[in-house]
Amino acid sequence: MNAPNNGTGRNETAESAVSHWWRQRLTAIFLVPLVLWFTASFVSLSNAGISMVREWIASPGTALFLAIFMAVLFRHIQLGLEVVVDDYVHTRRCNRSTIMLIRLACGLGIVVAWLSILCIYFDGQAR
Amino acid sequence: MTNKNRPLSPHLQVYQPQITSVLSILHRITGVALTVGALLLVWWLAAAAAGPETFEIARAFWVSWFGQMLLLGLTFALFYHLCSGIRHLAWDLGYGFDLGTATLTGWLVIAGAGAMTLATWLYACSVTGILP
Repeated sequence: MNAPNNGTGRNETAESAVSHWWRQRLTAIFLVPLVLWFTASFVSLSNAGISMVREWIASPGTALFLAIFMAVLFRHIQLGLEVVVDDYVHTRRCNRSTIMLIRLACGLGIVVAWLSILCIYFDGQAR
Repeated sequence: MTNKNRPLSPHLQVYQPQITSVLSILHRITGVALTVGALLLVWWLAAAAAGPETFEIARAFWVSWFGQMLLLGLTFALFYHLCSGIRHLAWDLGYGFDLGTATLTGWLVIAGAGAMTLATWLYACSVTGILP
């Protein structure tokens, strides 16, 4: 895990390791209801065409919770993958670059998801 | 740090697999697999935002046999990671550490994930009209 010195020369302070641990748990707790809500909604859209899917996303409650879900989800993914990388990638350069790549990809995931949700939401409002 | 190549963490090969250790690594594997699911989810959202032609490509992928197999695997991975994650949260609070309880909750996690996967797919089949 995030030991003070995890062999990569990345001297993480005890404080930042503790905050990493807490953020992983907090995002996990928030994801429990969000995942159950999303899965139920997603499955009920099994037969839906684009208009039904967009109608679902465009309702204010869905747009809000979906935006929160995507943000918390990618934060949780980032924190989790960082622990995996710290456990198996021990050379400093590889470790740092993999973690930067993960952060970049997770940030990008949130941005694309939010833009898509906003786009569908405003289009739905305009109708 | 005299030996830079010393083993630092999870060395799966040197242990006899047990229910506890297998479930532990499965939590990680499903977590990484679900990352792919999250990316596909973003693709689905972006396709819905882009318009009917793009959405049709995404929909055709999901209803293909490969897409359906992937969805089935992701459904189990999701519920496994969810149940196993709750077990981990209980451990974080200090509950269920003794060997008997850990083995029992391990089997409960597998049963729970299996049951939730089955229920989800039965629900999906009733939504799509495959089942009444």
